[in-house]
Amino acid sequence: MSLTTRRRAIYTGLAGHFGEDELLPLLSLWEAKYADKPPFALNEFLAEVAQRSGRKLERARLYRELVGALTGPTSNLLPDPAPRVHAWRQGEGLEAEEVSGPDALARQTFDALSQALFSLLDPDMVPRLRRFAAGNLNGMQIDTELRLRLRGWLEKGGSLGLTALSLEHLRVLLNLLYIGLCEYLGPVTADQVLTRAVQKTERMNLQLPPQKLL
Amino acid sequence: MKIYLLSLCALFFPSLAHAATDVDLNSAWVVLASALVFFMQAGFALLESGMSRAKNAVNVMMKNYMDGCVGGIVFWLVGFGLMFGANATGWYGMSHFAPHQGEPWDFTFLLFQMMFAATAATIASGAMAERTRYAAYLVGAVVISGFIYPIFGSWVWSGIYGGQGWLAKMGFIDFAGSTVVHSIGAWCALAGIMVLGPRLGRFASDGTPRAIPGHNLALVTLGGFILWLGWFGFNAGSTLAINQSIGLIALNTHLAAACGAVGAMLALRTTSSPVLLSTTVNGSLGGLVGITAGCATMLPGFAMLTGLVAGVVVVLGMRLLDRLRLDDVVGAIPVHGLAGVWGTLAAGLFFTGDLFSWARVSVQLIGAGMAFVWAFPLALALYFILAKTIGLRTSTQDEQRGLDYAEHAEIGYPEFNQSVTFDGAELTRRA
Repeated sequence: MSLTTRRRAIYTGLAGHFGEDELLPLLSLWEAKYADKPPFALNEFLAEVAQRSGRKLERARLYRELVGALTGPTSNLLPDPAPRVHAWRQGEGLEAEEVSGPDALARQTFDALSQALFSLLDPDMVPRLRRFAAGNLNGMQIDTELRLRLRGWLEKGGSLGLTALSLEHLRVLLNLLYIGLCEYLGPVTADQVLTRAVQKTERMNLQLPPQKLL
Repeated sequence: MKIYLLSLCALFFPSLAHAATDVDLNSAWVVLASALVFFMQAGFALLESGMSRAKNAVNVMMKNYMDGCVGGIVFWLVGFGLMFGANATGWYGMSHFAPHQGEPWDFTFLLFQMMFAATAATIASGAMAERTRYAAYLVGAVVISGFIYPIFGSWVWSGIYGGQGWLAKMGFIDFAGSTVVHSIGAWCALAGIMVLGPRLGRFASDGTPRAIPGHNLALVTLGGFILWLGWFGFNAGSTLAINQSIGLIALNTHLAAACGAVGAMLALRTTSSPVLLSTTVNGSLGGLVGITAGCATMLPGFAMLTGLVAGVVVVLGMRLLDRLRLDDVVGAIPVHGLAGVWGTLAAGLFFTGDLFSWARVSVQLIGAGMAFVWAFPLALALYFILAKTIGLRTSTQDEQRGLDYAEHAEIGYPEFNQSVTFDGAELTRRA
């Protein structure tokens, strides 16, 4: 079993018992001390977890859940938290929080889909499309600060602007890009480009399929 | 023995004992014509869905299907009374609402007129395709077939149950409805597309029109043929009787349609444009609309000229709409509106026995103009109110996904549609 899969399993097992802020240091601990140890070391890991958290844990239940996650199908596992663990280690607590939360999967897929979309366009078209979307953000039901950050993302790239965007926000944002494609390339080409971008992203086998953003 | 056999026949086949009367035959003819006019709904459905993108095919079909349903019901309820009820003033009828008692002929006539009302209502469907909310569209169809169309119709055709429309009194000729049915429908469609605005990306920022090809030209062609067939019932059935005039009417109808296609082809070639199938079909439909007013009162040569010019009018009209940045998905306004106006004028110009009479043409002009003055502002107000209340245009997200998904949770081509613009897994959940 690969390190990634095991990390996802531990994450999945712990996710029901700890908040996001507690999870990242615990995962970091597991990676540093227990990732290379045999499976029976899980008990030792749980003892340390209980000690660090200072809470009374149902260790037997937690143990069963961890074993279940490690031995069950990978399709039931949450996505790999590696970027967030890495960010936490770097001391970038804010960013770690930004990529977490209930809509993290949607943001991850959106990121891939938008990159696929941009990669299918002429290079000079991409900034025009980004500017178009940035100039039409007012229709999105989001607060001013978030809109400004989103505008920053659209104009400069990166992923900061995707902070706190829900799945529905992301759908609207994608539709905004689609409208831009219709304006610049016509609706027929827009449909074709969107279709190809979706198909390209689909091949990446992300946890949340790109169709969910349509 | 012979007497015995004849008695048996009279006993078991009483209908054979007497010959069919004129009323029987006329009823049979008008019912048959009604069925042909009803079949035009199928033609419209095929033509319009073929000219739309695959992701909107079901929506277009549904609108045409329901036009026949809600249009028929509301016409029975109020439209027929407004159009053919006792009309003392010449402006609208005031009886025969929701008719459920009457002579057999009354029901025959009602059936035929009901089909006409559905045709008038359905013209807007194609023009407004691909971005109109289904519920709002249906409300529009109800108002058109229950109020806008019958009121204008009463001005021209209301002499059946007493009284006479004011346009008819002036001598306005519109035998089967170039103006009454087709132009009225087209002006409503024009109002609809003005309120709606064009589809996403239909025009570039500099105004250059972008073609959005339909998804199935075979459907367009089949729809054109079916409409052509139905038009024989539309025009020849308007005699409301079996008589010798039917032959000329049907011949004129056919010739005008054929010349309409030729006219469109010539118009396309004179500007070195490619001869498109969809435009050619529209040309023949323009010819059919054009001849509808004068099919009973002009000779075949003039019918051909009427159709030929109508085909040219359709092509030029489509270009005009493009220049005005008006997005008419199927070309309904040039076909039904502009060709309808031309056909109405042609009925005056080529009136057998009174050719090129300015007096007659001027009455025709008044009639065609009044159709616009009546229908367009009303429809504009109607669609504007719909836009401000229940909403007329779909969201851009729904336009991206296609109205089949957004409005009906059902797609026309579940196995063959190549575009991925919506989440297919959500279809079953929506249903």
